[in-house]
Amino acid sequence: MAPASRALTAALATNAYPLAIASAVFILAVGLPSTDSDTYWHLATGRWMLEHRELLRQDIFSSTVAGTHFGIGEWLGQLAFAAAFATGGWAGIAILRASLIAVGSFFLARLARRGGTPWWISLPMIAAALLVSKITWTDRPHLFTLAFLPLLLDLLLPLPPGPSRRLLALPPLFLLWANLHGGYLLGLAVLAAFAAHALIADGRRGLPLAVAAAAAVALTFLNPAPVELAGAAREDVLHPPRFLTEFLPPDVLTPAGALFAAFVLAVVGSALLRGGTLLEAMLLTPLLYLALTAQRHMIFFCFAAAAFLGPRLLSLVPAPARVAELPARLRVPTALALLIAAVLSAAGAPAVPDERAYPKGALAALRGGSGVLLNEYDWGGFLIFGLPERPVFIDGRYVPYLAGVLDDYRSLVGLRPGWRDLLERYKVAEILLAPQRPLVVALREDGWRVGAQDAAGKWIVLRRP
Amino acid sequence: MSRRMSWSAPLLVGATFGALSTLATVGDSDLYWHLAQGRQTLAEGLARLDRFSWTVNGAPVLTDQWLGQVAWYGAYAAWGWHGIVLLRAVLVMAIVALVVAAALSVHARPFVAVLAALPAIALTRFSWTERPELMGLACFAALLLIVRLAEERPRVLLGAPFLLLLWANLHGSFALGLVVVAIVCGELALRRGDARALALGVVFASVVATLVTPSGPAIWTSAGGHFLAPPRVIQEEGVPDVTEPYGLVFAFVIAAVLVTSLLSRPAPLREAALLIPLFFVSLTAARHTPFFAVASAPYLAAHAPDAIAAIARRLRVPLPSLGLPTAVPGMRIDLATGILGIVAVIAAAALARAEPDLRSYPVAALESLPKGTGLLNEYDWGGFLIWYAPATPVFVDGRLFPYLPGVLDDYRAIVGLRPEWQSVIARRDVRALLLRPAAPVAVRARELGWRVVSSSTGYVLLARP
Repeated sequence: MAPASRALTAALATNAYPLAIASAVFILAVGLPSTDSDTYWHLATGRWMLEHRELLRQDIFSSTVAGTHFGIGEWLGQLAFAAAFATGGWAGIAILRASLIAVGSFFLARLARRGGTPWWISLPMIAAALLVSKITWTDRPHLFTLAFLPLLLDLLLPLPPGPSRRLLALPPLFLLWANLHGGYLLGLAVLAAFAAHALIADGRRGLPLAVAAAAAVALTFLNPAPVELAGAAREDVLHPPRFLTEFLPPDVLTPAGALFAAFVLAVVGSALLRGGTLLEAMLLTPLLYLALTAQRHMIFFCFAAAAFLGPRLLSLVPAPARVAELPARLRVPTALALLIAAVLSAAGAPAVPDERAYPKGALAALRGGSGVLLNEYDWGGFLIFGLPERPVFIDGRYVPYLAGVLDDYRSLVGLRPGWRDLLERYKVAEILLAPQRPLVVALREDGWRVGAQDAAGKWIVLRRP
Repeated sequence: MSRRMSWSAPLLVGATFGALSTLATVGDSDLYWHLAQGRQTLAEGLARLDRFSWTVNGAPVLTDQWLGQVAWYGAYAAWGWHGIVLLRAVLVMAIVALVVAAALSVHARPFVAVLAALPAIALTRFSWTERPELMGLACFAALLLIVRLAEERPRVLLGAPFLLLLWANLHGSFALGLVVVAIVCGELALRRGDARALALGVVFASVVATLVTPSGPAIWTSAGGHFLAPPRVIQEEGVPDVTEPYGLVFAFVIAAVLVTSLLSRPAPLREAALLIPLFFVSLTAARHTPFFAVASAPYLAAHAPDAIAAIARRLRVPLPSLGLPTAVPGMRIDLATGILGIVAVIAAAALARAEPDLRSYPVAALESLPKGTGLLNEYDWGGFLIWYAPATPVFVDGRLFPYLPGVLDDYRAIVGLRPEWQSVIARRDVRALLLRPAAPVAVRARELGWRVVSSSTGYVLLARP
């Protein structure tokens, strides 16, 4: 057998379990249709950049902030999604999503197996972490962070003190990450924790990691808007926009929140009984704080915790008398069979998104209309993509609207004092909102015409009389 | 109690915080209906049916806080608003003293015990309200001290049923106390065969004690409801938010416990068995956050010095040795400290500006309120109206449960200007609105010609034309 072939065989044997997990997760994830409202404006942005061969630096989608500066921190991620869409339509999006989640799952499985953790401990842990992550399986550039963070942890945790070839991977990883998604800042924080620990624990032998970390930091500035992206990420942590569901604090009485709580309690409980390490304290404490700030961040704590929990749980839980292990000779074939199944499952990726939450039936009526359209916040992305000829009032990008439009939008739809003045100031000609909005109720009473409405009562189009 | 521990430091710290608490103005929105209910109980016997609203008048109301309400009203009857301030200060003094004493029971150095207790004290600050809930927190702190003292002398647990008998009549949080007793006794029975009878007896007596209330077994429904399905519509029942000031303190406590558990010597099983369930309860709602903080203070007192020493060793920073104090003050000094502390708290209460802070209530509207039924009031102002405008029954108030689900749904439909708001107004025969001016229905009703009877920047009183 050739050396290269032997190395591949060895790598396969070592990674059969993570590969099997990643393949199974791919099969599950690729079958899910796209549902997220932000996917649409990411796609529209990426599509514009592909068509025009330049970065989109100002708003072109709204009637309220048209022409103002627009964040470009995720440009490469948006391009990747737009390219996937251009190549394979919505199925391409599903395949890209499933691939990124599978990459994350692969490295999560490697983390959960650390210290020889057996499958009967690591598998439930992996399943729980993936279930927590399920709320973030939306088709957006943040999926790159979902894939890259466990990769980074897998890269750093086995690092020996002193020089290592693994360190060379860090700067290019961060160069790429910084252009894909703002979550690279979390990666930098993790890297900083490892570097600080290496200096404390290993003295001079920790210097190579510190130097690699410094190089990684420097390279993250090679993106079109480094300071802007860092500022946005900082605001997300310090002042999370609570009106967005994903930015609400974790609710441990929901299924995902309960699983997250299980991770937290398992970490604290097992540490109370068995203790831990300084690295764990330096890594998990900030990640736990981050997780408590918003439910979309829960998963990062769970991923990192999985790397430490296994051996401690193993020391606490008495091993079952007989636990069936897959025979060694069957592991690689099983993993390869699942990998092949995963590749084949890509053919079944849904070709259309799940648009039941959107006012699809309103598009025809709106196409014939004119003037300023006041739309539901959550439907902005859908309209940007599906009805580009009608600029939106507001959409899920939210940051450009913080200068006043978001407050005005709330005053309008919530029928706050002064709503009529706002309606005139923005020259709103048509509205597309949920029928139970106070504004809809008031305008209907005032005689605005119903342009179209959903039989199920999900949306209504009203026009000025 | 063993003279290994003196009460002087706990009482001194307790009195300090008790006196400081008198600086806070009286103003909790629920205080007023608690006072009204306490007055009714003293005058006419237990208030089992609603007398304050026109929407659920005559319907059964909860009696689970009857003793607490009587105590608050008793304080008011005895010394007016100064009595309220004094009772609050005494309860704060008790809570703080008990938390410090529990910490001191595991670490004999007062300085360390006080430091370990400070985060818990800071977090309880957000519960220093004039409600039976504060009594519940005092009972919880007392139970935790019993639990700590029982580690060496299990017979101390015999005090738990008596405490629970009192607690179950003061506030619904007794359910948590019973869970704690069950956990501690369960662990004791497992650990010490000779204490099994005692442990079982304490649990049985505690269960029986909680049933000796006017509600009987029904008291479990309200207590369970709060812990298992907190009504998120109420701010304090919301998910803990670590970006808020109280949440930051809570996050600090979590971080302190996590880092300590990772870096100090392993703790016994009873510590994990106690802390982990309370940690979960604290994660369920903002108002529950003090429970974990209070419970973890003794753990931090016993173990945090180890963790700090471990960090200092890694950083090669010399730390002064924390030896045990050479002398423990005698009982006479404890007694003198206690008397001085009480005197200081009474003096502070006498000097305090005790009048309630009514700036957030519609005081100027009181004269213009219509008598009898028909007024729809802001939810948060219900208690205020019950106390200050007894001739005008309320639509809804902070008692919440009697209004679920019908009245609260109707309240939301009207105030939120849902499509059916006009029909609900007609069905309920609402003839006046007392709301914040920005409420959608307040805006709309003015436009539709409802007469403005009285208004300010904080409220508007409207009468149906």
